[in-house]
Amino acid sequence: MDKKKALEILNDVAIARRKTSELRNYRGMGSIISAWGVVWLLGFGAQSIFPAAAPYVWIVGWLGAFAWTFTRPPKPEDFRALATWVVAVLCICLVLVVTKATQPTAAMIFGLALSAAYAILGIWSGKRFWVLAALVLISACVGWWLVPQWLYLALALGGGVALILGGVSIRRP
Amino acid sequence: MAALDSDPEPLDFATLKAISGATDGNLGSHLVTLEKAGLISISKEIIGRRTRTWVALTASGRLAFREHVAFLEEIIQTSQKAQEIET
Repeated sequence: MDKKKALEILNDVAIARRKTSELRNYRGMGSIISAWGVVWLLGFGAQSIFPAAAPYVWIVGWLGAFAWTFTRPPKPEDFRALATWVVAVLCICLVLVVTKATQPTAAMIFGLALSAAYAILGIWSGKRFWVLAALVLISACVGWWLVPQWLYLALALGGGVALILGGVSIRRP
Repeated sequence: MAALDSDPEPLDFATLKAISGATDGNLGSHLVTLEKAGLISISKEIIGRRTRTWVALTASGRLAFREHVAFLEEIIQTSQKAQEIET
């Protein structure tokens, strides 16, 4: 066997390993994405239909989804993934407090932040996450610019349902 | 083999098919050959009316694959050294 053939085979091995890693990420993330989709759907759904109950729905939903994210396999190897999430969320909350953001602005910013999170996940873990990023971004933009009076419903139905279905479909090889 | 080596958990047939790009029949015959050689183990799981096929590398399969990769890397290194000496 010559060098050229050996390089070809090693290249095929590297491609197979990369594809396996991507599929493993999709498989591991599927149920987590769906869980966040349920929180998104219920939280923004409550904000749209039962605004008084919305804070409780969000608190229970966030705690539940955080617990689900960090206890499901593949479990993070250390506390840094959880710490990154906490820092990012606290940072967004501080920005909202400092800028005295209204509730619709806060909803839009969280929509954009989630979209950015999936886009970054797409760069590191597999291109399918870009589809989720686009779906969340589109639902946020449609709600903000086209139907501002229905922003919460757009985020609930667009973002929430997209994440639930996305989580199911992303698991497929 | 590369896919199975890079994942510590067994992989199902559909995932292997997606990674390899092979047809059902082609992949199936390759897996049977590898199983007969003792390089992989195949198990079946019944989920409702469907059967899911799981494939895992055996210890000897993992060793054989890694030795093969090391052999390929050695070919490249030897070739590079020969080129350096020539220049």
